[in-house]
Amino acid sequence: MTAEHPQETKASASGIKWTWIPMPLWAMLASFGASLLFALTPLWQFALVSGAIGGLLSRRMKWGAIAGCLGTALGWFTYMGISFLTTQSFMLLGQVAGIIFGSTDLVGILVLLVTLIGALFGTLGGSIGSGVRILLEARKSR
Amino acid sequence: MKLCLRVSNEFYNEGILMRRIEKVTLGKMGIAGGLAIVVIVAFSIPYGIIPPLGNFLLPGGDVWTAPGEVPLYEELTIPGLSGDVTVYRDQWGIPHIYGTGEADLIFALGYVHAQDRLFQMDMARRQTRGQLSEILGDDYLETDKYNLLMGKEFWANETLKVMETSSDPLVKQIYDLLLVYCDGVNFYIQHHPDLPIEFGFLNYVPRDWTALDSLCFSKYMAEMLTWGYDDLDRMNAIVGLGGINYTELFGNPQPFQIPICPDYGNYSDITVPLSAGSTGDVPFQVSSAFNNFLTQVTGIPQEADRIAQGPAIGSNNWVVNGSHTSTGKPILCNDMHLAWNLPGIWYETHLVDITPGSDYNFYGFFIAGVPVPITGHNAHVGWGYTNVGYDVLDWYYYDAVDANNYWYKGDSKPYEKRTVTINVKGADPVQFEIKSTVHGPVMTDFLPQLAGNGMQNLPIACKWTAQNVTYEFLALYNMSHATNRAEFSYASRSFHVPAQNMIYADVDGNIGIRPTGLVPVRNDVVLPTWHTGNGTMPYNGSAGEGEWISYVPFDDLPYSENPAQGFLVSANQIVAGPNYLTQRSLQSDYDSGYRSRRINSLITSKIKAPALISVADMQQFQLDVFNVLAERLTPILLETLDAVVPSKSTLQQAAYDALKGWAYTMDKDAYAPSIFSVWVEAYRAETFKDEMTAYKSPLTPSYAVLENLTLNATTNTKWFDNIYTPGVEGRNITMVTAFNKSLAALNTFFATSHVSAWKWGDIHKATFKHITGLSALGAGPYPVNGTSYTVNPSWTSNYNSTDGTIHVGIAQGGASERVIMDFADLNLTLSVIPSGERGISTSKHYHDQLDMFLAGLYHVQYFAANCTCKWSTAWTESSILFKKGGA
Repeated sequence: MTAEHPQETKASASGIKWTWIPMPLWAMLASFGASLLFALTPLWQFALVSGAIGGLLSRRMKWGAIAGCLGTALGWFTYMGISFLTTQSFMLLGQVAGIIFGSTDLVGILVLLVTLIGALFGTLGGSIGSGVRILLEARKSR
Repeated sequence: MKLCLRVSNEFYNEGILMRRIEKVTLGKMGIAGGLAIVVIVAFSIPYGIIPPLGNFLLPGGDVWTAPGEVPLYEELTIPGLSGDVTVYRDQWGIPHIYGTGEADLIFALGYVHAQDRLFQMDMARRQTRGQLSEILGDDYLETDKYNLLMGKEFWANETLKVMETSSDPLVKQIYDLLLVYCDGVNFYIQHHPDLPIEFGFLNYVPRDWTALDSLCFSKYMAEMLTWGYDDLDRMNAIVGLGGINYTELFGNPQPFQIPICPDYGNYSDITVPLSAGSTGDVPFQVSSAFNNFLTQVTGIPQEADRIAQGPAIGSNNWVVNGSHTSTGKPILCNDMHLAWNLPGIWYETHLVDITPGSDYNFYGFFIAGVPVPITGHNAHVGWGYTNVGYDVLDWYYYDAVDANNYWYKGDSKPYEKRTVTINVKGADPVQFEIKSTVHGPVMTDFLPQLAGNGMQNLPIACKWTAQNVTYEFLALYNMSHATNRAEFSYASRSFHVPAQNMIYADVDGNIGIRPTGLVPVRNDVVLPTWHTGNGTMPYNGSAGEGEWISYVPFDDLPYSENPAQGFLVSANQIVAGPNYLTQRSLQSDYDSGYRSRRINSLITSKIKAPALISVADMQQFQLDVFNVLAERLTPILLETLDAVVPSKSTLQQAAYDALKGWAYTMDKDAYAPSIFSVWVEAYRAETFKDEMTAYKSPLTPSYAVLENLTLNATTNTKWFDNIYTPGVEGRNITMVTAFNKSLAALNTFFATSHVSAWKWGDIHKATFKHITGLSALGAGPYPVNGTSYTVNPSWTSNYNSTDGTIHVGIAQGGASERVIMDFADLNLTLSVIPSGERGISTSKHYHDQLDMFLAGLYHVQYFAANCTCKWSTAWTESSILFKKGGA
């Protein structure tokens, strides 16, 4: 078990022992759900919010970022998968790949690109969300 | 006390820690927030042609919300309908619209046009109205200016004003239908915020549709079919070649013409051009001014494309009367040759007025954006078109007085001026001043490149039949409602632009053809000696040359009804023979005649057999790829090879054998077509390129002229001699030289001397471009049968005479639809388009008919379903119910 593992107890610099922090799976799930929900709107900027939701449910910024990243990326990936199965968006994305890259076969690159952009937004949103939580908790403990 | 201090210290230390945590966290949040802002901005702004990627590509964006297929069933409540309207889409997505009264039908038509072709409609109106810069930026400003100068929008608007105020009840009715059509389009736009992907890519939303947008389409078609620079090329050819040479190579009539209207006599098989040549020299100032103008115009992509496209424009139509058909009634065929695009230009629709007592049942080809059919048939009559090629556009040059005045018949005359505003994406609107002379808009002074080179002293204006209030919508409406020959003929009087050979048949057994449209009569009384008159070359506008004094009266235009020969054929050839009474030269330009010769031959050979012609025969005729030019020249080539090259190389012998065993069909899987096609291109270049280059002629004589010279070999005409060599080459040497060059080129291209590997389809293909030019949304290239001059055409060129190499010829134009109307039973009428009904690139109807088209297949029209009760649910792919209701 490494020091980065979520189930490890870690002492603060002041010697105060933080309680065990479980893996914020639910934070990631919340981010995932929110990103799926927001994908139904035309406001892609809400991906930051979905990440932030995951972040708010994480006590450490690192885990907030990870929850937002994975949750939003997974949410967008799932959205794309559902769209591919229920609409003609796979073909259309292929045509967009054709326009951008010159080959409709490179649709996978666009899927990867969108997923990575989701991860980026989720990471940034998760970092901000968890930061907000840390600030709130720090003020509370003061 | 100690304990209190310790606790106090701990609180103190923890407070410091908390502040430190806050500080670090805030710092990290700042970085994350800053990055977030950067990323959001990065995904919110366009990069050149690339739209803002956030709105376009990310979940919830345009890619994910763009419409795909139409819903299987839609029910919409529409205020103002007089009854319910039912739309059934068949397995090709073609709507069959059943409604009570025409207004209801036209509303639904507007809706389905927008549902299937909204982007195409929007681009067409923007192109016509000079509004491309608004969505594409200032790169298109020159294009917009040029389109505005043409006056398409202006004259469509003038037509609209007349229609709005007309007291003619029929004109008023059509105007009202126009408004209803707009309502249908706009209902779709307003209720469907999810737009086709092209809108997302270009990052704009369409504005509402207007009656002016629809009316602009007749000008759009006129531009497509009649705008050009032939007069300028003709003048340069005369300047270079001199009048005598010009007349020999380009004079009227061109050889081997079979007139469209057989009632005015025929030309002999090999004809010496009749028209008088010009003498004297074109003033240098005039020719250089027009050359400068043409050079600058070709800098506008739209015009460069038009000039390059050239021969893709054409068409075939023919009709055979019941005495020669297996059905006992006329069979009419039409395939209009236009640029191949996706979505295609035509939109098939079936309209049925189910009002008791109405027998309006129409199936035809519409242009999305236009509420009246362009071609088709009702239960009584049907019609189709080919382009006439009447000379309907003249160019005038002037002596300028100053920037505001020009000389006209000895007086200083001020330009008429109007200013239009051009909206430009990402920039301030541009005020554009349009100046006009008595003839038409001045086309030169908007080109900044021309300033300072003397051009400002020689303004150039144009006069064009489309620069008029014209009534094509009235004509088309009446034609679609005609029940007999007289009504149709009357209706066609209002068809002004673009002039068309209207072929006609009806269930009563009548056939006819009427090359109709506005044809100017010019005052050519006083012309310089170098001018060939009849609008063939630019006129001196200041001197009052070539004034349009009237239009040829409708009844004076050539036509033919129920001719004794029992059939009529038009394929853009000359309209009338030598006995045409008005003695007017109507056309300055027409097709070299190979398609018309072949169609005439196919029909007459059947009649002489004697055999009756069936719909199946007509299908074969439309798909025919027999090369008449090859039939005429190949035997001479083989004779010449025998005479000049008795001992042939292996490659020469193989090519010789291939041509000898060839049946002259341009089959994509055969190899003889490659040999002939490359050879005949090389032969034409070997014959004419030396003189055309030396004399700077922009025109090259047609293959018909080459055929004429080849057959007329006894004179061994001077054109076969290569003026750059010391010897004197005759026809035979030129043919053999071209043969050897073509074999070398083919051998190099295919990298094999096995001629059987030189398949025609490997160097002759067709492509179907998306209207934006985005290749991923287009189709092809596909290997195809045919060539430039076969009945089933696909215009390409393979041979580069400069370096003697060949390349793959990509045809971008040909038949834009095929229809065969059987007037014994119009339910057996067949049609197909080389695209599909729906302009949505992911739809199965985007180019489902293209596959059929390439395979030579047709579809039925379900025309017998003249009420919903006769419509079979088995044919239904989807449906819409427009329910009458609401306020």
